[in-house]
Amino acid sequence: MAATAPPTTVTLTIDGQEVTVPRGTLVIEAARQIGIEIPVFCYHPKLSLVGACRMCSCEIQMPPPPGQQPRPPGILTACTTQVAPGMVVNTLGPQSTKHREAVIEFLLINHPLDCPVCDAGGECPLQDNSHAWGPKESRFEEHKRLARKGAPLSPLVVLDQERCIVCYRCTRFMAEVPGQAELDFFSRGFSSQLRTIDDQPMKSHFQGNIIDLCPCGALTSETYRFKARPHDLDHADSVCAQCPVGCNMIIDSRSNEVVRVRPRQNEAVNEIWLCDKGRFGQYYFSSKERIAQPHVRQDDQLRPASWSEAIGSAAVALQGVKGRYGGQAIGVIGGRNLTNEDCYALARFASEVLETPNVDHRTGARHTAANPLAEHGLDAFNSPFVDAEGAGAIMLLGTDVYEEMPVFWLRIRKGVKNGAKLIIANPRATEADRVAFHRLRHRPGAELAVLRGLLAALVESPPLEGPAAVEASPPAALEGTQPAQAPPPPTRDLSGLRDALGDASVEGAAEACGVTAETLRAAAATLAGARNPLIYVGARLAIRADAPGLAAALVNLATALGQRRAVSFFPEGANARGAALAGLVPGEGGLPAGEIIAQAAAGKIKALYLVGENVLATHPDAEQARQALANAEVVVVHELFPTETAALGATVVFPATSLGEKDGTLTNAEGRIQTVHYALRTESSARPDWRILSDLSGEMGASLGYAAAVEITRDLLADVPAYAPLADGAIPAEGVIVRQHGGEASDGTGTGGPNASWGAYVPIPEGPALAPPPGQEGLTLVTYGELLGDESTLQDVPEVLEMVPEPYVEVNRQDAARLGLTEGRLVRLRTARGGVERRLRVNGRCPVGVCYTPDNLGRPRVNMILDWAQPFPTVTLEPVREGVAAEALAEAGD
Amino acid sequence: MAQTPPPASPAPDGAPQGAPPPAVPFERVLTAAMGQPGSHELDHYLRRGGYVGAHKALTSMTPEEVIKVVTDSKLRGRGGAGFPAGIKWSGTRGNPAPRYLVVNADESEPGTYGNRYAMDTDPHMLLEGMIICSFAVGINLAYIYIRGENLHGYETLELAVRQARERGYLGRGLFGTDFNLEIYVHRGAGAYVCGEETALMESLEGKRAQPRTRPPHPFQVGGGLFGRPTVVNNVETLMCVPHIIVRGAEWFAAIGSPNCPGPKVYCVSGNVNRPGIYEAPMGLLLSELIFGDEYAQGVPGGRAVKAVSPGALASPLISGGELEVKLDVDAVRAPPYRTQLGAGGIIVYDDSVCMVELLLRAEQFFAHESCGKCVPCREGTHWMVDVLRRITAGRGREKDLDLLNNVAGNMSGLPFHQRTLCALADFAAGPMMSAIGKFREDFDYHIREQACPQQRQLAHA
Ligand SMILES: Cc1cc2nc3c(=O)[nH]c(=O)nc-3n(C[C@H](O)[C@H](O)[C@H](O)COP(=O)(O)O)c2cc1C
Ligand code: SF4
Ligand code: SF4
Ligand code: SF4
Ligand code: FES
Repeated sequence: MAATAPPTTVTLTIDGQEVTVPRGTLVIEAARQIGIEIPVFCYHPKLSLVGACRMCSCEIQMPPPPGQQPRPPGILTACTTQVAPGMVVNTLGPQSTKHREAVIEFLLINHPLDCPVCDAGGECPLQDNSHAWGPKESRFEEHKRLARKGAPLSPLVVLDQERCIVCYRCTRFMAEVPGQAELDFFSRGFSSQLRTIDDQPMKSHFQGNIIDLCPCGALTSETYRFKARPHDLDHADSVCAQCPVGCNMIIDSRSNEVVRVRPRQNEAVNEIWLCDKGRFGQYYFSSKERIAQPHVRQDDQLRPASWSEAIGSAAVALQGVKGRYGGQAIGVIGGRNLTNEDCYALARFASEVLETPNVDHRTGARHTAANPLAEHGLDAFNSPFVDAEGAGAIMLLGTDVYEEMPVFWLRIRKGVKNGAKLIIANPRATEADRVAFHRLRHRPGAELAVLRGLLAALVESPPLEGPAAVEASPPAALEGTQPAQAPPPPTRDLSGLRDALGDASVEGAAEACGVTAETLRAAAATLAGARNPLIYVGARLAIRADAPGLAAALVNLATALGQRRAVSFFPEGANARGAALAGLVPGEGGLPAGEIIAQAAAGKIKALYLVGENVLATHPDAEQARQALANAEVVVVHELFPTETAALGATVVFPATSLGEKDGTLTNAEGRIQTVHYALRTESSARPDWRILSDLSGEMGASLGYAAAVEITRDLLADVPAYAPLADGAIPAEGVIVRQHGGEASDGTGTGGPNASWGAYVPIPEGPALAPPPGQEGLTLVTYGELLGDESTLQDVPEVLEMVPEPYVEVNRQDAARLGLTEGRLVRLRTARGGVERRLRVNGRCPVGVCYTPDNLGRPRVNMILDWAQPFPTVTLEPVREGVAAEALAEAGD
Repeated sequence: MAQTPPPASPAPDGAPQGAPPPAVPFERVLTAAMGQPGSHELDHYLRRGGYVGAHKALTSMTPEEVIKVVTDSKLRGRGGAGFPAGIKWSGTRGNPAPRYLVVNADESEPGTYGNRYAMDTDPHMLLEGMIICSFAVGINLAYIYIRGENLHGYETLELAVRQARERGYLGRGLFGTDFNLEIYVHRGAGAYVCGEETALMESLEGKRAQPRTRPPHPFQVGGGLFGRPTVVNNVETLMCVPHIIVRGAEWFAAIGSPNCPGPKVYCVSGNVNRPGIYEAPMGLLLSELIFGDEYAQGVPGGRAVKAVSPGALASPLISGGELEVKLDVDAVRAPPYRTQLGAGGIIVYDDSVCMVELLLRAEQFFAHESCGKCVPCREGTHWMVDVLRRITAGRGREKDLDLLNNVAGNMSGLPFHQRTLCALADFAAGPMMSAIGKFREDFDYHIREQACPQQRQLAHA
């Protein structure tokens, strides 16, 4: 080993040009930097190196060892060869071009050349490379290989084995990026065949990406197959609004219909990935089921109406309520799926026109602080997504991030691959558990106790002070042979935390949350020993009644770890951050969304203004929501689809335009504001929400006066302090992170909250007891949202609907055995309110005594049997007769 | 051959060291026990001086000294590439622990069977070589990857490992030192390509046996088994090691070809009177091996040798007129032979063999065994089979020979595996190009006459 550190850059020559690049750079990337494109098939910068196709081979001459004759250049693959000082690369050398020609010839001899009927035609690297490098004619006169054509790998992805050039991009992606090796090659050599494991359909949420990665037409999309030629498509740059990641995408349309969606590269957000909901779930823009026209209620029936009639009657009705009961008798819910412009218009409408403080975008919220961390001087999300890549430990609390923010999960996985230790606290196992370092399987609703336990464990053995602490301690302890050279760094002073914790002990917390003290201590030690620990908290915890307590405990935890900005809450809804920033949060004395419904049910709120919020399906107590709709004198609804809320309760229904039809901005979970451009013309009479609000406000005598979305963007940026750095209105293509609190730079590189509270620990308010005490009869029900829930946006895409699981309830094997229930049985999930039917899944994901069902799947939704007063109800499961033998039924009954 | 001392059980300090340069009569060391019943038993091996080398290395030498002796002996890998073992070992030792040793006992190429007999006869000699190598490189965990079909060999090795472990030759604290070593025997379930060292490691890791891209090389971090620096050696390479330690580097280096010395196990098959395993000095003349009395004793019926594969099926062919070649790694590589020794499997073809048919058989083997990872090998092997099948079926065309030659050329190039990830493509291409170069008339006859020059019945393809 050389004593001196080797230089960090390398200078080499490529096609006569000198280029200096960092050590370890691949030749192909070095060439790219000076604009030399080397053709590839198997190489992909996001995947591991295989060197399989040999297309990128160049003449590469290594510098001779000192004192030796130079050796002739070799033909080496540029995609696997790292640069070396003095290396000479000839990308167009006669040997390499001849070799490339040979590779193309080899690839084409067994390729079906059915380009005329191939979706990839016109945007196919195999075509392009053949055109650029291939031989003029084929010498192959034998029979071509025959293989499977049009074989489904899942309802979404179709394989044409004959076209496959065996580049391993798809298999590498699945194994490496989401870590779901659902695909591999079977048999070898000439007979190599891509198959799914056990020939089972792929289940991953990330399948669509392999279609993009495939360098030929071997993998195609079931929803796009044979629909269009790429040169016939119109393209619009947009942002996915199906979850708060905010993946950048391109909407390709033809004849004003969405035909496909592709990812748009944004390294800070989605890199080049989309999840399958983002990719296959945007067809609803052009759905035939959309509401085409305003409706008003007459004789308890909704009937079509003109815009002027609908606006007029909504204005009169709202004015009436306002006049009779005052503005605070009106509740406004909506915004989490709207653009910032819609949100801002709605916020202004609520405060200036309706004059109500009861405004919220967080359906089901039980307390007013939209950002529970705000009172501690922090933003709701305090680090850019990319930080997850460099974290030493990542804790996920109360989230199934794979379902909640899928593409962000890929970033977390990257962090884990880079060495982050993943700590998961969840009442049930999630996809992320597969790579978890610690799993804290706590009692439902006991998150606060988990946090107390971690804090108490930190007080017992505080983290070391200073950045060197992390590296310094463990190896010395392991080696054991070397005498400690330097005195150990001091431990962090946690006396303030001890005071804030009161008499909480690890054992006490363990008792309360059901996680062993040992595990709590181990997880705390992992967090304490990690550089850049990060803690992500599920959106559902931010709206829960004990959110202030959770926030205080989390801030204490982050402070104890020396990294206040370590903690972030996920928002619920694609533009929830944007909605909060735009002001769709309870005002002075205002009610949170959940309470708005509760109060409406109780008859205290007299009018509901619901923008894109189907409360009957989303409020965690459907009966209460039904009463609210029944008791409210006026219910105004903006909707894309004829929802049950509109059907049951609306006085006036305004048809709104979808995200695909409007310009505007969205702000994702990390606080990044991004621009969307419309992809489709609106063919019905639907209007953007902001326009409806502007028109309605005019009718009500206090016009917002907006005629175009850009006017609102301008006002929004000028008015909302967080957007102040953008007041000139220019939003760069990759977006900009903005921060409401924490004084962080807009590029997200700031270091932390206001120094005033730095190092200070806050008391942890006691929350209400959420879960029934242990040892109850029956099972405790946990609910959560699944990615492919909310079927209305997916209803036009049968291929995607096939991916949507049949509504199910999941129980532990032991409970199933005790109840005499088996996998696949239809069961009735019952509370005091009644029952819903679900398919039983029996596995080990839920611990004994807990069962889980998604709350955004199935009709009726599970909220049908939920009670606003009991967030974690006790439920029973009973078999449903479904052509099963009577004795099995009787057996299960006792 | 006149047998004179040195004694059968090696003298403690390498007795023959002082011997003057010329004429030390060759003594078989690798196959000495062949044919002796029970030779695979530990006690039998001990009676013959077994584990003396390991004892000597571990108790009286430093790892660096062991590596120096092996380097000085000029031992070169017997698996095919002929890479100097000492350099491989020191390169691996230079990279951080944990490191592993993997013994390549896959031996799947038609015409090679030396490792199989050696392991059946003297499994402990292999284990001893592994102990010495592991000690020298700083390895505590070693694997023997044995071809799955070789069940007998696997059982023999398992027994040997068990016996060695019981006697304390494996496990913790070997020979009273603080050196630990465990050996696992792993049965492959794969293909010919599993013998390629990186594919072998993939297979050992439980994945599809497909060669990896290099660098990182096996001796480097990221390139070896489970990503750790790894020595991969052939069975015979390691079996040489105990003798080198016991008798000294000079003894070894003085045997046979100076650049590539030592004893070599040749296995001869094909049209010879006495096929079998012959241990001889590296650099034995091919003609001697085929015709020598102690060796294969000529061709049945006195027929002429038409061609020879000097390194089993994968090596470019040598014609009957080129038999005066020395059988060592460098000599066969040199012009005009330009072939390879491989693992020393010599296949002899007499003048009744039709080269077109031979090549069809060979290419079918390679097409079947290509792992399919890289394009030239996956597609090229099969294309050649298709064309050869057509020719043997009487539907050959004039231009086919240029095509075959060109396709083979597009798969291969010197040095090896530049155009592909591993040398299998070169193995498939080399025989093809050499056959067309040296036996063109067989191909011409097939194409011109639509019949076999040996009057064999045409295949129905
Ligand atoms: C297709 C292919 C098959 C091979 N099969 C074997 C084999 O069966 N046994 C072997 O020792 N080496 C085999 N090799 C060579 C190994 O890759 C490697 O060079 C050898 O094990 C190194 O050991 P050595 O240095 O002791 O020779 C094969 C190589 C290729 C390309
Ligand atoms: S299906 Fe496409 S991506 Fe997958 S190996 Fe074949 S060519 Fe490559
Ligand atoms: S992760 Fe979220 S934003 Fe990204 S594509 Fe999926 S649903 Fe859309
Ligand atoms: S040369 Fe052949 S056997 Fe070797 S890696 Fe490539 S395809 Fe596989
Ligand atoms: S792109 Fe380099 S080998 Fe495939």
